[in-house]
Amino acid sequence: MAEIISYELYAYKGGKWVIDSVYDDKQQALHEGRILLESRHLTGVKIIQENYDKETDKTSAMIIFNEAKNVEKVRHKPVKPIPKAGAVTTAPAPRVRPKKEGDFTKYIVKLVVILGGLMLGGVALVAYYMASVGD
Amino acid sequence: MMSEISANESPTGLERRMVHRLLIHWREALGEEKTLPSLDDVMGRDLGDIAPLIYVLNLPEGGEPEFASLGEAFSGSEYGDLAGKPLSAVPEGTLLKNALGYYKNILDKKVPITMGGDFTDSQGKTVFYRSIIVPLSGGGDEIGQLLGAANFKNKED
Repeated sequence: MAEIISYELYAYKGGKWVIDSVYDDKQQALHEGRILLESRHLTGVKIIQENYDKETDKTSAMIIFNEAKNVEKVRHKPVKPIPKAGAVTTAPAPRVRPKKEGDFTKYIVKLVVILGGLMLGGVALVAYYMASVGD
Repeated sequence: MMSEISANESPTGLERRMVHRLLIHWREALGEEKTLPSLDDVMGRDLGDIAPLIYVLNLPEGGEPEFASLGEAFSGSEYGDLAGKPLSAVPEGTLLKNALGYYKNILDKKVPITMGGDFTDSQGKTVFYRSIIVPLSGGGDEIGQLLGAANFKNKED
């Protein structure tokens, strides 16, 4: 036979892919790959099929099994934390209401009334003084 | 340790089962820290009915591998006494001769490799065989020994 087929089983451990074992039997390679994936310290298993052509001295490879586990998906949307049942929660801080434009108008009206009153009082005092001097 | 992998979770077929079980023993002996297990790490385990199918090769520096020990399956009149002898002493047309044909691949890749095939024995019968060879530590990260197992069935079986 001109072509030799082998199955290389790779395991992802310690942050890198390392070759674990080599098979000439596809079914056994798949079986061992699935069992290896169950082991605690592995997060991924790959099986690469290598076809070596003796006549052309060329090798081709393709991944026939690629499984991972316990891989947390990165979530970009912030998630509101849900308090656990029975957990002690603190009261939320009081919200400070922003001042509206109407408050400023009321302030101006009050200021005008007070100043107006003071001015009228001043005018009345001057008028009373002038009348006293005239007598 | 991969203790959660049970030796009973075997694929069907006698040949695949032998490979599967030896792989489990080798991986459990390896643990999480080591690069390679030692001979004692593997042989210290309860290998059960694959023990008679096992042989061990020493790797003298620059020389031909030599048999350190052989299981009962390789001690009959067909083989003679191969203990202490080199690979070239293995008779042609035997299971062991065919099972060892790829041992250099293990030295190259430093991982267990299993292969199978068929051959014609000394009586002219077609024999199907399966072989697995695993690397063992020589005290550090380098391979110091090879441990193999092989079994067979006749075409008529």
